[in-house]
Amino acid sequence: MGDPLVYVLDGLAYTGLFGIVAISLNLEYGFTNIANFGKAAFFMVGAYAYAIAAGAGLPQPIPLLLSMIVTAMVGLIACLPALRLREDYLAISLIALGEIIRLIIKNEEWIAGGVWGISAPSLVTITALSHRTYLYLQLALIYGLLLVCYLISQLVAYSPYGRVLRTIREDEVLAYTLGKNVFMYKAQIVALSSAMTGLSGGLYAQYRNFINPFTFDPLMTFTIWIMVILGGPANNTGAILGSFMVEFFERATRMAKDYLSLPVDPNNLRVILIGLLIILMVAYRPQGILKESPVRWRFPLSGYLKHIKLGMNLRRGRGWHMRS
Amino acid sequence: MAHEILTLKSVVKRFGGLTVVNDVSLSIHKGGMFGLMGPNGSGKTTLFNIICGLYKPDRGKIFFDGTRIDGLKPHKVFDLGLTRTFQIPRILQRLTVLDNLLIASEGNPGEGLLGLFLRRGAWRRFEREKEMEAKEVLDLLGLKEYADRRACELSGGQMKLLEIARALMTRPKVILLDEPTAGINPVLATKIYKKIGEIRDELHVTFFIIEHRANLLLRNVDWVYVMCRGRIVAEGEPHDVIKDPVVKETYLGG
Ligand SMILES: Nc1ncnc2c1ncn2[C@@H]1O[C@H](COP(=O)(O)OP(=O)(O)OP(=O)(O)O)[C@@H](O)[C@H]1O
Ligand SMILES: [Mg+2]
Repeated sequence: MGDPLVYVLDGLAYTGLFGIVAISLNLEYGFTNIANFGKAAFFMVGAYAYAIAAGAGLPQPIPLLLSMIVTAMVGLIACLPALRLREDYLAISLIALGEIIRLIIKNEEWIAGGVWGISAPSLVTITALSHRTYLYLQLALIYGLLLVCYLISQLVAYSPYGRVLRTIREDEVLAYTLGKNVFMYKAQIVALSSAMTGLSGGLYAQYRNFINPFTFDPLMTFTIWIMVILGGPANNTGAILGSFMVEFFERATRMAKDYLSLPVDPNNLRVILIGLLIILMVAYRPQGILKESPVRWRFPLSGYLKHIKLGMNLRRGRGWHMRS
Repeated sequence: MAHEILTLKSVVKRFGGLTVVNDVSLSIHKGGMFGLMGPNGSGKTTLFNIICGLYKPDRGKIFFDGTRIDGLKPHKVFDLGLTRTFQIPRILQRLTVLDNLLIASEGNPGEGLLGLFLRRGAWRRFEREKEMEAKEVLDLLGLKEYADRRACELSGGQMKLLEIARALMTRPKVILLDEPTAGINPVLATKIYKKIGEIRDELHVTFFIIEHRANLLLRNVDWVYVMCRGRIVAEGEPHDVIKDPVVKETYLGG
């Protein structure tokens, strides 16, 4: 293994990329109870949309925007008919859809190289950078966009809009009888969430510079679900934390196998540990590590800022929602 | 004659072979307090479900304030100004009591995706106003101290009250109450009806109330319908209905 710092930075990049997807799944599942099991497929659509558009020579950031738009559209087309189904049917139909899309891309070479994959030009195009500097720039890009997604999700979740989402999650019939157009809300959330997933897919493609269909197997969907369940459904910060934990586990166990001799195949160690963690979570803390906070709107970071006690007098004037 | 705000014409609803609502016609007048009583399983709740759009009637027509509403989706019916409570409270358990009320307020600019991002000042102002209104309503029903608690911490009776509080938040033209006092002690039940009466007088809301406690209902409504096995078997002013031999036999137990 090369530079250990590069290994860490690479892990952080993945944490950020999957953090975006985990946040987007959280909007769907955590706040609205839409069981989207097609995340890997939508992530793949975003990645391929970027690679194809950038490969065709479209100027930046159009390819990245296209990842969002195309994925949002695919998400809507895939989910809209199924949203009227019971949630378990939605899950099954989306798993199936994901595999169909993946197999089409894999077998139809004319679309994007089939099994050979396709290259995707990086967004960081400054030449003659050291590998580390390149990674730092990538991290700035990824985490900048993660922050944007996070802030949007916070506003969506902790607001009157988020209250409607939670009502739909808890009791659709009630939401209807209180005049909420449930179907419209679900469609909006699927579109928004898919756009974020597509964005992450595009970022992933440009980060890796190369994608092929094997990366986006259904297991990826479950990994993303684990992030959300671990970190805390209905908590955006938790989704990012979950992403970090899963990535950390993956890397730590991969490294551990060089140093440990275990009675089990060390490659399975991660799966075993995460499985154990999930069982413990479901048994003792089903709400996840970070639990859901009330709807009332807060400035997204105010809770943390208050803890840090910056000595800054946070503007109380706008703080009707801040309770002592 | 008062203006008819809700009219049902020959409404029929079947579940399989069972005719649960059988040729029901009735009318509710603006500003009135209307009662609906009848033995268990006579189809009262089903009738409410049909009116609010949860079920589509197999036959018949329903008019609300001049608009035909049978076949409309529940949120459309709500938008026209009709709201309801449920016999078994439908409470958002994981949300706070206050949120359970705020969710019912109409016209919040922050409930649309565009308004959420572009009109933040507007929706925050709206929320502040509604929060005050909600606290008044909670005060009214003795739930004020629970405002910031999760709704799942409430007792069964308090959940019933929360349902009513939520209905009051919507400021509709008509409120359908499905057994508002079931599981609530008689003293509080009497108070609730007093409150409903005040709201009717102040806000000119029309009430249509299913109630099992006959004496309580008859003391408080202007007009009562009696249902039995899916049919309206009697109607009239309370003092006339009590005397009705059919009612005595089928409902009040002879
Ligand atoms: N969705 C449904 N499918 C089948 N049967 C139903 C359905 N809803 C209600 N019923 C039946 O319709 C009949 C009337 O039920 P409903 O709940 O309207 O009675 P109710 O007058 O409200 O009774 P209660 O006083 O006990 O609340 C009952 O026999 C019930 O089993
Ligand atoms: Mg009933």
